[in-house]
Amino acid sequence: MSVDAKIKAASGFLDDAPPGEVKEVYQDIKSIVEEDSDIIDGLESAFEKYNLSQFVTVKLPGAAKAVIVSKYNNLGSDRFYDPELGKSFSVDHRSLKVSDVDEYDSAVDVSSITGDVKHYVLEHYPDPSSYGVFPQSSEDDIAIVILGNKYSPSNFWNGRWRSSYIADLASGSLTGTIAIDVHYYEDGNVRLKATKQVESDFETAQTSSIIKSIAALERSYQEELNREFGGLSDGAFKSLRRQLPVTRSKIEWGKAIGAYRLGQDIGGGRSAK
Amino acid sequence: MAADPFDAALDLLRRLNPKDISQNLTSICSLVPDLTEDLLSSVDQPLQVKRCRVTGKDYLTCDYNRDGDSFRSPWSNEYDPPLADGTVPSDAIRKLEITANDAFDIYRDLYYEGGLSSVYMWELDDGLAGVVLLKKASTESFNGQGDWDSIHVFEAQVRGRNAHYKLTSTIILNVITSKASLGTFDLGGNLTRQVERDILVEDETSHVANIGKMVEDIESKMRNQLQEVYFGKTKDIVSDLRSISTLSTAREEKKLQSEVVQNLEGRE
Repeated sequence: MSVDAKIKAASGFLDDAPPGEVKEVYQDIKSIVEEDSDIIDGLESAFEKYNLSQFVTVKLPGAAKAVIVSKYNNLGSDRFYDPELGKSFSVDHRSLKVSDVDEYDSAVDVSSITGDVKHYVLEHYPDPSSYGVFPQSSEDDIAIVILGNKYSPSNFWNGRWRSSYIADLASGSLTGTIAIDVHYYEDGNVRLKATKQVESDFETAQTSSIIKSIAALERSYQEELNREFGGLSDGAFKSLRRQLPVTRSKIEWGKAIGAYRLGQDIGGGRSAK
Repeated sequence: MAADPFDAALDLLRRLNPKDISQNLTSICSLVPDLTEDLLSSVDQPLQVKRCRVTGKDYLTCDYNRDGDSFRSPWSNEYDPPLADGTVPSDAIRKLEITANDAFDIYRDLYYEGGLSSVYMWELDDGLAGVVLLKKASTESFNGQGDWDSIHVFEAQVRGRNAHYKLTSTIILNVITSKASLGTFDLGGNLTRQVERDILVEDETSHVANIGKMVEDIESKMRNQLQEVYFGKTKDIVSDLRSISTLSTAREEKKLQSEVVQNLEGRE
């Protein structure tokens, strides 16, 4: 197997790392390839892909809030910006170390939208949550990114909520994606991955209507999701295996077990499919 | 601290999306071919279905009825593709295997009302071992599609009039829905449980009844646990990520609640 193919295989593992477990997955990869530096060094772009798609956060020196790293605030190569802090910075994707922090002046004033998003996130996403409001190169477009993480490795579960939207200030259209990733791993390995593409609109004359649209989208999605848990539990799950046989009692094992088949033939109580 | 590659591979498979377990297993084995045999015999994968060439009946395949690239049918005891010297159980064990396949076929019908079952057995120095496999896919037109695979590996060590049974059960459960109002919803994985029991053995066929009872008990328990984890715990975690009601309201309610409690306590 070529080194490139090995890097590709190992990169696939990083790509699928559950919320909050990327370090453990990286450690496993290193042990599996027995520290083969050709493979480990080749994981650079896998780390970058993971960080950008998972909205990894970094701390800038002296800043109170954590900053999201995403394709929406990428200035090219490893540089990112955050209008709220008024800073740009470089990120080492493997270590998540921040360097070369610089002043950053946003061409578009997004402070009012940022205030709305901040308030909304505080009200619906328990700590440690994060958000970012980033003007895009297409001048009318503003990206809004929301992240909710909850890690509880001592209880064998971790979860992540990501949502991202593009608000077009000229047309008043709002499009986005909500993605949920939950990992439960006590004596097992259970994963939920749920994604929905969403769209709505807002009043261009009032930027405060953007967050109202987002709030409505996220609320209805979460309510739909909760209904689905109930629906699957009563539907798909029940039809897989019964809690008890139709006889409503446990099976009489032993030599007489053949009687069930006999009873079926004679009684005809259960219709043949 | 460098972990053993085999342990690291198992840890990795417990973390990565269980839905991709077969694909991830292939990737690990291509990275470290030496681990292949050990991993294939320690990692449970979704069961595959094959049709018996002799009887025309479907059966389930796993590492326990595999010899090289061939699989043994529980209905005919024949390997497919045919093997001249494929491993088969002794006559006594094969007789028990036939009885077990009959019994679990009834069990399957009573609990699953469909699906497939297969039992494979082999001898041990002081007893016997085997695996009970059950598979059911639900494609009826209800809310979503479900897939259930049960893998029960057992060992029976005969000690005088009793046998000591060790049962390791894994259930792989996947449910998927996709609709406009929800987007895609993909919930899957596996739970594993182990039980040990000493049970009286009157004659050879007692093993089938004893294992049958143990499998029936553990599957009933695990069914409850799966329901709780998949549709209770996972839902709770999502609510921990995002709160539908505003957090300030939640805090306010909590404060009021503790005030009420304090007032009540103050009155005593």
